Amino acid sequence: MSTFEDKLATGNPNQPATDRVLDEVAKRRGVSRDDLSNLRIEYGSRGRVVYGNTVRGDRTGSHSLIDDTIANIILAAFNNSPDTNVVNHPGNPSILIKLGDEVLLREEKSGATSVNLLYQPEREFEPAIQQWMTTLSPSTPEFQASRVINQIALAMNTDPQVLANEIEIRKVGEVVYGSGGETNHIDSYYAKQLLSLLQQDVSATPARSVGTLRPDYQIFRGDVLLLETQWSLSGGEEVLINQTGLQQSISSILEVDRSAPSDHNWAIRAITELEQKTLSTKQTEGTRHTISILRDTRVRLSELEHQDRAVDAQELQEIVSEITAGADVELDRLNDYLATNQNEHGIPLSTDQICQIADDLQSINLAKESLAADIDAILDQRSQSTVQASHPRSEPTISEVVESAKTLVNPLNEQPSKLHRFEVAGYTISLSPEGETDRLTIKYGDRVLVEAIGAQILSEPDTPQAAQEIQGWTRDAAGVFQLETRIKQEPVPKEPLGVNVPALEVTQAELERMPENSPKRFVQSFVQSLQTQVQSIQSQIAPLKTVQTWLQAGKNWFATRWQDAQNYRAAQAAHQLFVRGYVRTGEDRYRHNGFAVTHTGNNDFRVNNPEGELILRFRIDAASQAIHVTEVAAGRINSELISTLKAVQPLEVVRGGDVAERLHYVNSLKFAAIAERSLQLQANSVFDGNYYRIERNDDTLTVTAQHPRPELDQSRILLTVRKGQIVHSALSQHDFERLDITPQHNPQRQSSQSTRQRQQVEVG
Amino acid sequence: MSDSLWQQIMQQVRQHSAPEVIEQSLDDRDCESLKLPSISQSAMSVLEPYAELVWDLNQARQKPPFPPAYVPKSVTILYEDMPFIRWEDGQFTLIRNCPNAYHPRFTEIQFDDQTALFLVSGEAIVNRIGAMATFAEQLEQAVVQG
Repeated sequence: MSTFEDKLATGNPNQPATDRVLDEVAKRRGVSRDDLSNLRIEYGSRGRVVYGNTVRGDRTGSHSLIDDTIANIILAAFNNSPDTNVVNHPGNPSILIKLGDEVLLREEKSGATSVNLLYQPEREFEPAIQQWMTTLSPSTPEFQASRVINQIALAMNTDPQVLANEIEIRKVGEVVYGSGGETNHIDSYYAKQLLSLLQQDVSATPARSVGTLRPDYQIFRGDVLLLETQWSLSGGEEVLINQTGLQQSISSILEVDRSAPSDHNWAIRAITELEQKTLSTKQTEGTRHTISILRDTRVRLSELEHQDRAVDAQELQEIVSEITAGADVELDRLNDYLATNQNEHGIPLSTDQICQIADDLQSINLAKESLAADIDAILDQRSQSTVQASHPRSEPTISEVVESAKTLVNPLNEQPSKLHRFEVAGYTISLSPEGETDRLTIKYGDRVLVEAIGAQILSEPDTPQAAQEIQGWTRDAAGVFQLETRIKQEPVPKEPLGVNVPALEVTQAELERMPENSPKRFVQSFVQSLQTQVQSIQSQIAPLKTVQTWLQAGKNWFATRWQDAQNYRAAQAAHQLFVRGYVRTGEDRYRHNGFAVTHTGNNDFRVNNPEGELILRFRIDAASQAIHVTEVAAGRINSELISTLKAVQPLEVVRGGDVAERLHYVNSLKFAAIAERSLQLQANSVFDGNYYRIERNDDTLTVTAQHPRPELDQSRILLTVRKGQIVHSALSQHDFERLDITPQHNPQRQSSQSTRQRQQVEVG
Repeated sequence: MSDSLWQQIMQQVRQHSAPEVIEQSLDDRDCESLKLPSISQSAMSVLEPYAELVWDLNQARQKPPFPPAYVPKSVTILYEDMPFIRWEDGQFTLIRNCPNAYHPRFTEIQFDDQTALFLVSGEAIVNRIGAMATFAEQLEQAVVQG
């Protein structure tokens, strides 16, 4: 029969590279190549099957896709130590190797290895052992025993050579392997059964082993029982203890977990950690029971996960207390033995047994206390981290979300002239012109989450979760400072970087081939910053210096650009503030919320903070009106500052100096008088002119602009007079000039001939 | 999908001048995904053995660009779909050893695990960074580094 292996062997140019990988897998698993018929290797972020069955059940054809490059990358991954604390990255891993349903290796896209059963901490067996293994014939007990011992060694991260001398395997109480191999009756049947049992999880509902059934297989390492099985009442082998199997199940749980919400990951990981901790203690009836408590908890959590349910802290506590109730039953049982001095079959207990039961009682009690304490500690940690993670600042309002989204898509605050559409992680943000303002729409897929015209919110997210989702990433753009905080936490490289620069050079070479355009320059600039970052790390030997450099280099690129945009927006806000004041009173300096914006001539502007320090200088290009930021005080420009500069309510005015304000008041009164007279002449309470709309309502006279004015945002109210008193006046110098309300005391303004008739014409 | 079916479809893709759509159901994947209009023949021949990738690329090509002021938390550089460099929150979490004189058939840059730029021999198959790049240049002109 033509096998897949046979096909592989015929005329495949990738055969040598494939062989290198398969041989290494076989060697590290302590199996023959024949045992790898169900091996499957997925390579790359799209989970491409380069060897073995595809998802649809096809083979990769008669050829393996593992070439030399792929083989080198896969083989290098074998040497990465697994980290069970790694949260599986969403989506496909970069490398996934499975033997049947068993995950042998899983390297996440983040670069971390979450599962690696091919990892050998000591890398190579001693040459003598390797030699010994190669001389073994598959039919010999030595070879079969080595399969079993290698499996245990791999699962326990132990040297198999040392383990071979420590292991004792018993079958129905009789030693079948021991004394470093002097006793060895392991045949292929035993080996096959043991290899299978070693990979099984402990039975979820084991029958009592005390005094009921005899153990079938037992594997001891010194005094520690690694594996114990029994024939269950329903027939078949049941695993009662399996330290190696539990490790395996931990891996498989983490594997199952990869797409689960983080809550599940968290709860299951927490329990798994406790299991591991308990496993490292001496095996007694008590610890065994504790493990069973923990395992039951984990199984319950997994069940919930499969039901796609998140587990909250309260629920976890309920589950734990429910399961520890089982421990209480066990405690009662043992207490009863002690009280009556006989076991459940009525057989009197020996002194040894009484001591053992006392030990077990103590152990279960301790485990219960420890479990309760650990759960509390985890919950504390969890609630703290939740608070830190999800509430770094106070919850933004929907208006703030809209503002963030606008900043993201329209960072220079330009008036959109056409529809702009952008997308991040499934969210589409559109900005389009809408009358005098703009319309912002945020959608997820086809679902409209937010809709706003100008500052008016038309549609809000219908669920808190949707609002959370939007905030989660609209804040990203403004969240760079959080990012900087995170950088400071653990800036330690995963591995030495000495030989890795070529990886970046490959990108640079590839970018070189692009046609000259802004995306090319953009990415080149970023990659260059990465290159500098790597080189500066390499040039630093002292770890502390490395951390510093890493930090600085890490801030370099996107954060710098984001800060540049902040500086620009601050200058823009300061300029708008200045213009708003200048059109009213025509001065060179305005104060608002403690900040001062000064025009120093030649279109040069300065911004000083309430302490009087210069924090920003900018220039306005006379021709294009473009803003150029020329000087920034380090670390002073942030979102709060911009908000403060922009915090001018629609009907609020930017006030000038006292003298200028008095003059403006007088001129406004004159303007009001002319407006009033215009109404009288028309003999009407409303008058619509070319420039102004004048209304009288009881004792209130209101003048609004007929055309929008950028400095007034969306308000058009220019003047409100109540009972002869000016309540509000946003009238500009230009308004006064138009009506020839001559500001004699303002030398910056030229007066002209005035007649009452002309004033009325202008008002009209 | 068997190799032969895939080859048949790619053959049709080649025969049809872009941007025509091949109306043929293909498992649960939209056949639209096979359409990569305005891509050179040479790039197409590089990509055709990578079914999952072509599907993904077509999805990415249909997406609007990233917002101009977008700040990705992570950047991943992939050669032939294998992540080689990952930069997360300002630090490297992955720099894979690179074969000497390595010339990957295609290179991809992802922002937050989404394709931002995909290159085959310098030809941009996906380019979602146009607005970000333009904005970066605008800023360079507008802002003197503080």
